[in-house]
Amino acid sequence: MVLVWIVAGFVAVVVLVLLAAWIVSMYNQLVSLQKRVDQTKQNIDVLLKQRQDELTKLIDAAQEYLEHERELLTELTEAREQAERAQTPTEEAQADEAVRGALAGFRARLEAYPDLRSQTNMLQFQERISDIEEQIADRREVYNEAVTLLNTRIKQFPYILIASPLGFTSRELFTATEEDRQDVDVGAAFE
Amino acid sequence: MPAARAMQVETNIDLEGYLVLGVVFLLGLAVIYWGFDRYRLGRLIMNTPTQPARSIAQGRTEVHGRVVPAGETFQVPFGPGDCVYRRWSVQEEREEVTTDGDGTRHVEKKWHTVASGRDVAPFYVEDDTGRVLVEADAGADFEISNENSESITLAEGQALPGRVEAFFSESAHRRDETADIFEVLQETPMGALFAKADIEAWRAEGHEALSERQREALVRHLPEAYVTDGNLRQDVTADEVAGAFREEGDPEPDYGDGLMGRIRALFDRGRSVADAFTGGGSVPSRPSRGRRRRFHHAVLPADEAVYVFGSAEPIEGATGSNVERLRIVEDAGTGRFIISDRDESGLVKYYNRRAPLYILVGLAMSAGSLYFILRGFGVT
Repeated sequence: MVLVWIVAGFVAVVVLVLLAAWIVSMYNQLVSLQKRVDQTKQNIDVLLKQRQDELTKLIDAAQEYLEHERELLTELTEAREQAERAQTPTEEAQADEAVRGALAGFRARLEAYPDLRSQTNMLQFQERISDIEEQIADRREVYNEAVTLLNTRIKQFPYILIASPLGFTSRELFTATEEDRQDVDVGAAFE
Repeated sequence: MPAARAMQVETNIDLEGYLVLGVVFLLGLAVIYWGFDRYRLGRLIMNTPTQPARSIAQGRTEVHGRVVPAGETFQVPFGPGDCVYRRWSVQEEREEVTTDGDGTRHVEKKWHTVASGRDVAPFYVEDDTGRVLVEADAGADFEISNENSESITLAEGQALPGRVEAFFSESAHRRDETADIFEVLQETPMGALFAKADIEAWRAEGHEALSERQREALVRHLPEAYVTDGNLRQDVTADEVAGAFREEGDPEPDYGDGLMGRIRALFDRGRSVADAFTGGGSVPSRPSRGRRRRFHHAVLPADEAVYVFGSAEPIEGATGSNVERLRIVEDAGTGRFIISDRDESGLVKYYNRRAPLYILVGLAMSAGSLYFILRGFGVT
């Protein structure tokens, strides 16, 4: 009988150690998920900074030719500054919309300036900005995936038992603005 | 006297038995730990978001795509096609005769591994957005599913299937070729030329009269334009010779991943021909027809769907898009670098199934061995 109790005690100790390790693992996972969200956010910010720099170069290069297109340059500059000020995903989405709108207007007006349009650096800036926009979109998807993983995990059992008491909270997803979600009016583009 | 007798411990197991039980106990604990580690690994993979190749950021990353070779490939050992990773083994069933203390002979058949090998080459993982280099030969753990693994068992006297025969023939040819090159390498300063592309050392010796073997080696391993009258042309530069021994013609002297690069690197380190051929593994030989034989391989074929977990790091001095400036290596934070032909959910299921199994098996091993150890000491 003593033998059975000793072996049972050993099994119980191993099970308790595994349980403790499991709880620690759950906590570490939540911390890791949270850090991952922060990291993916930072990765987007890196590209946003690159885009800001390219926008600045684009505006500087275009200023000489577009001196009388004050309104267009102002719109582009203000969109760039709005992007710099954005803090939350909602503000970033709105700033993105402003930048894209200003760039679209810029590209449309560029047609009237063949000399400016054909400048190599102008083409390079636009291509570069386009590449960066694609990468920003990719990284926003990754950010949303990271946020979804975190938000789901802190609501799931048994993580919920330690998430709330230890202060883990949901994070905001990056969502498109209303304008982005509306259908494109192709006819209006040709008016 | 009663006190002294109480201190005596009677045991029913000899020392060797206790040692075995002790090892099983410790092994059981190790298996429990390994099971828990599989659980943590499954969670790590599940908690890491997938990144498109085009916009991978530096740091921990997870990518899905297909395998695109980055240069070197290998023949699938016992089948058709090329691969960037292969692990193979050849086993023979042999009889082992043991004799009991009372003289009774026991004949037992056991499988013995007579040859094995493992080859890995870097490759690109390509998805819809782009591709990125995976330094698979830098310590990756390969998890290959049954779809890309195969075992062939042959009965006694059964001839090798064509594809197995082809593997041994190719291996023998490469072994002969490598031995040939290595013998030439050892004739200095041919060694200087082939191993280090050291033109100065070569020319300082003033080679005019080369042996037939040296002439043949020059003609065989250097481009036709570099050799005249069976000797190295005077106007050939060190860079040209170095470039001839590398696949991409990189101007910086380096040990490439091709056969010559491996031989040169191993020559400098004083390793053997067998090592040059197999990268350190055993040289394959045809197993005997008089025994049952088993051939096993696991491969990651070119163009196969692949999952990669690791860390994206910049390539020194490289700039441009991700394909040009990043490579995936081991993640320093977790020590993991996983490459699999399973997709993410398949891999997570694979680890999640194994975790409780290993824990239960480990618990049974350690609890069982503890039981017999204590019983051996007379605890009831």
